[in-house]
Amino acid sequence: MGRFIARRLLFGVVVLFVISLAVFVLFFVVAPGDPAANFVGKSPTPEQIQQAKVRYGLDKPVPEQYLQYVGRLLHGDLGYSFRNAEPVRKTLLDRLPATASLAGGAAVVWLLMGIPIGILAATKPRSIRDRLATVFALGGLSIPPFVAGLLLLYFLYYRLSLNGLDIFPASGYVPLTQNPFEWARHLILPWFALALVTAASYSRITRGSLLEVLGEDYIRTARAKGLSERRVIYRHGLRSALTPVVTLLGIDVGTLLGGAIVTEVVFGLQGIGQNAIVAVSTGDLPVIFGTVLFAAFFIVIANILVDIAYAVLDSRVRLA
Amino acid sequence: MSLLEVTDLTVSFPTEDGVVRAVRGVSFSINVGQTLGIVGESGSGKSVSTQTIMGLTRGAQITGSAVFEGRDLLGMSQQDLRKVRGAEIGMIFQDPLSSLHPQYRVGWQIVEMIRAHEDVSKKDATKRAVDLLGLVGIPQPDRRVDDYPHQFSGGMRQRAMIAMAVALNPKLLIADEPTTALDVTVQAQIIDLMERLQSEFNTAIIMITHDLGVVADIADDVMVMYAGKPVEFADRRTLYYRPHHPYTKGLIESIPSSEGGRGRLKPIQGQPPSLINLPSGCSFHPRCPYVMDQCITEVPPLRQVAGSPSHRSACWLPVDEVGFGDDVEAQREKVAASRRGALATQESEVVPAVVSAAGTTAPPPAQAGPTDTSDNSDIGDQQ
Ligand SMILES: Nc1ncnc2c1ncn2[C@@H]1O[C@H](COP(=O)(O)OP(=O)(O)OP(=O)(O)O)[C@@H](O)[C@H]1O
Ligand SMILES: [Mg+2]
Repeated sequence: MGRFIARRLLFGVVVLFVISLAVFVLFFVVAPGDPAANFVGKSPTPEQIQQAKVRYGLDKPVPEQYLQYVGRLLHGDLGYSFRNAEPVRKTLLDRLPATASLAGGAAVVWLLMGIPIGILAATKPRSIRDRLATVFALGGLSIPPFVAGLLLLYFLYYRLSLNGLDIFPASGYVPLTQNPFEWARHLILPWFALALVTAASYSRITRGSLLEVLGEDYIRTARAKGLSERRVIYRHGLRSALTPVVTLLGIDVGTLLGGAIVTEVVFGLQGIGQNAIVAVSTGDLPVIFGTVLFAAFFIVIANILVDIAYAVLDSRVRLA
Repeated sequence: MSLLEVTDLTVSFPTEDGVVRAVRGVSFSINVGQTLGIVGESGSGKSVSTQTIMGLTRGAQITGSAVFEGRDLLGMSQQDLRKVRGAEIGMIFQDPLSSLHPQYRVGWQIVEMIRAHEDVSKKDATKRAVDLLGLVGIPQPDRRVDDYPHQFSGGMRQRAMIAMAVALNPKLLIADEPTTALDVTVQAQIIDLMERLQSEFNTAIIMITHDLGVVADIADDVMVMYAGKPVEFADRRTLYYRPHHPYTKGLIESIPSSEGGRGRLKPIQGQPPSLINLPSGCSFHPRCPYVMDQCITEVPPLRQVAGSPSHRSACWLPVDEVGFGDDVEAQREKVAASRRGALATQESEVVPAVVSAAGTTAPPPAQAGPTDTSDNSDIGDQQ
């Protein structure tokens, strides 16, 4: 197991290295115009550009530039925003809690909705409840987060507030450490807005996966052993059926940590995604660049965790 | 009194293409400590009939009864049936790899079986699991108990399945092709193991197989199934040396180097019929070398065959011609030829060629429609 994890970690490092190379090429080699100009803001003077060139080593040959760039990355230096001159790393870390709260909470919501609905559908295929689950899935899949968000805002914030019921706030973020209740109250609408689509797809995946597993020979063995139907489905069926769900969960949460742009914007959450939108619209390259690397980092980490979870869940993987 | 008595069991699956009549009137009984072999080609309904008895067929229409120690398993609540499954009737399946849960340790799966029926501690149950693995011949059982199924060889997996099935000392063991997925040498070992356990615990065994050789090794009585129906019943020796039904003879003659085959390998022509559109009359008639007019129009009932009182066959050929040999063949040919009208002549010409099951079924004649004269009431009193 130890060797397995070590191998995965090593592989993750290699992947990150490749991504950093790709990002470097994208921003410093193939990007149009003088890369130094990208680091000094709008309408810079030639001296400023020269300064930036020296500062970022852009006067050096490309391979050397790349080594310097990797060196900076290894020190966690992602450069400075030219909008507010803040270190990009600090901005991203400051905004991570809001994004992580959103992603983590939404994941809990979509798991709690998607998996039980999938189980209900799979254990009685073609029944009324299976059909209702299909309706839920189709509905959920066809309502993107921004529509879901706006609907939630309209009904649960706007209409309720009109009636003097200020149950859910429209926007903002309160850190968990400051006030857990307010934290949850501010996040509950974004959680549901973001989770709906994913819950719909998880319900389908759980249904399909469980249906397939329930047709396996070892499920017949479990029944022949005289186990209760509950135990057959939950201990024997779900154990295998959830493996693809775990994989997806890792990737989905990893991806969301790079910023849930639409939801963050709709609900005014000061997260990584919202920050990235501002950066894109103002041409704040160091921030865009940092966000890309940051997101890639989480996706790679998520992949490693998924692989480890796989190995824990399924003994056959470990030997492979 | 018999341990299990199945009477007129039918199982149909409604599907989009039509109703699949997988089992069409099966009756048999088995006594304590006895072995009943069920043989037949793939799709003849061997698994469906036995799994239905255990309540393991879903979405099927079931009629008939299966009385186990005085209680009808088919009429039982799921709750009660669960107490019978595993504890009183154990099951072993064909493919031991896919029949064990890949993500749980072998020992865990045996412990689960024990604890589902008995109130024992995990520790005691684990000790019993180790003993059981030792009993079925797994080396170093105290260590292998923590292995996953994929760490076992095919033969060991089937041994582990057997250990699990006999863990609670069931009165009946249903073994559904337990050796089909294994090497020939391992097959013999598994059969030996089952015989040993049987004599030790006096377990009754239903041994399902499409390999008559396995049945010849272990069974007391044999039921031959074709297209969801029993076509012949006999004790092992009678069945092997003095079969009556052409299908049984065909099965024996397709065993390489069997006595019956006398070195000549004669596979049965054609394919099993579609269970949605069954042939009229005897469902074996499109493949039968002796087909007569009666075979196409009337379903043969199980009739007592000359020689042994418990020998029954569902075939219209005379009941006093059994076994192999040129005399019997010639005699049968003569009878068949004399009872062959325009109908069957047409059919028998098709036989030597490879017959596609559904396509060659002759339409029933206009005046004499197929009459189901099958009456299984005389089977139940077997033994
Ligand atoms: N759930 C089901 N729905 C529809 N048809 C089914 C179902 N289960 C079994 N059948 C059909 O019933 C027939 C009998 O199947 P069964 O598994 O009993 O055959 P078998 O004699 O055990 O053959 P084998 O030697 O291949 O195991 C087959 O034609 C099969 O396709
Ligand atoms: Mg079978």
